Amino acid sequence: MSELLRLTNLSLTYPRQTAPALVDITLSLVPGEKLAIIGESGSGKSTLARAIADLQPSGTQVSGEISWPAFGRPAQPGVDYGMVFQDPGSNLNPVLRIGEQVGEAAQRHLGLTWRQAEDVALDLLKKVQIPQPEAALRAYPHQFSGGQRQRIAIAAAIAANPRLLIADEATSALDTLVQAEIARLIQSLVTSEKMTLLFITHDIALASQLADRIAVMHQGKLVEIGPAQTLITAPASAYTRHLLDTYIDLDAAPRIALGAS
Amino acid sequence: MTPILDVKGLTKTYRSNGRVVQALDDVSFSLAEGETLAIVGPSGSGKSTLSRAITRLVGVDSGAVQFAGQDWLALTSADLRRQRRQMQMVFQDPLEALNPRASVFSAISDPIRIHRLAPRSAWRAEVSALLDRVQLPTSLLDRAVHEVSGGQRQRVALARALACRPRLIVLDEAVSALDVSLRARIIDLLIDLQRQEKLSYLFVSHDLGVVKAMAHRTAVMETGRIVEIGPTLSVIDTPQSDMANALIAAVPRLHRGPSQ
Repeated sequence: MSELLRLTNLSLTYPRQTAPALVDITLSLVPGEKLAIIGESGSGKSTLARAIADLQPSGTQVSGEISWPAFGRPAQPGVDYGMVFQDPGSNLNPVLRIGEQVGEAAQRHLGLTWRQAEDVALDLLKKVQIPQPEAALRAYPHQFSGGQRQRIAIAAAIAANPRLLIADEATSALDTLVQAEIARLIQSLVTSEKMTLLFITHDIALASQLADRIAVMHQGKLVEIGPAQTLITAPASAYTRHLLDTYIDLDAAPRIALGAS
Repeated sequence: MTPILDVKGLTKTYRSNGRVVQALDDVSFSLAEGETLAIVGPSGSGKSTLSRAITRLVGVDSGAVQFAGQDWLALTSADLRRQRRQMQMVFQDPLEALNPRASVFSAISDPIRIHRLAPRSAWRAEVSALLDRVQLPTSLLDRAVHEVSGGQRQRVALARALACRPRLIVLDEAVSALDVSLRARIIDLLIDLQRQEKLSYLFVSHDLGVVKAMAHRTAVMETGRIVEIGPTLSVIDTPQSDMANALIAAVPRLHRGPSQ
């Protein structure tokens, strides 16, 4: 199967910066796979997502190549890939009704009339499990909780049936319960809509639950990439090992002396 | 052991546009000296309102708080100003909690000056000692708060809280925004400080992994009520409430394999 996306020796330096934000990244994404990119603050993981989505600020120096073999042409935002960001507030226009913002992509990219686009928007709201979807079409973003806004942002991102969904820390601002719901939603949509997923997160455990493969970024470099389970159980790099060793989850032992209180 | 903090029947209702939200519904618990109590729950469960009510950032409708042997909610504002240094708070985002343009030195020395905890001639030595305790180099003293990294800034916020020589620190999602490796270091630092000073922590968090790492006891909140409270390991290993079960099931886990 031909690759969906291929990055070849991608390097990137932001305007007025001397240190590169991405250094010589080579990786590819095959259709239908779920790739998580993990790293700490400043590792370059969001820069990488934005470079793929062609969202870098003007004046950014880019070298290397981003190609889309499955399309045989540059990818179109909205049509070929949809993107969801961390802050559900900034994903949505606060003064636009939900029906308009979810329908806009369908209207614009699929050449539908507004009437048809509204039907598509309704279907999408059902798909992302917004309660009372008919009423939601006429509501505004502030009338929804953070988790529901993120569902609406996902609906808008997939309105034109993109092949690739890019989620940039899309669950990080949500509480644990809602994070788990949104992660499940993304997972089931990617399967049912036959999408490919690029999931950017700082949380290696979340990445391991959601993704087939994990890429580890550190200081702008791709440190390691491999199948999720292999990377967790037998990491090749010292940095990944360090991330795993310092990760605190429910399987880690308490750090306090118990019985002392 | 007499508790440092004893909370009884806290109730708080918010009203907006005819909607009534019961943010706190008859919340009671106590916290011993040197103990960490975690407050966990989903967004909107009332955990932040609880920490704000205890620190007197919001008023309550009814209930009582005994802190360090005083009727805390009955203190007049003048008394509260004098007493408040004993109960400090560290928030999730230090950039919102600290003046970004202040120097690290003034961020930490402000409480020393305001509460007259040391003569002016001793401020610099005092602040250096505090930086040392939170494992920051004294070379940061004259840097602006906005210039230092996120993890350093959270340690400045902690040093500022420690400058007050508190007996209780309310940590409201204080480690949630930090990178994993840094989070582990700050947790170890908090545990060390607790051991040295018999500090008590009220640790508000939605991250049960971190709660397991550092809290002796855990209270689970849902719609303004404590639905479960007990030793952290019992709550995590044998949860009794639906909410505790749901929270535990939602925590991402690393399946590290049989060796762990």
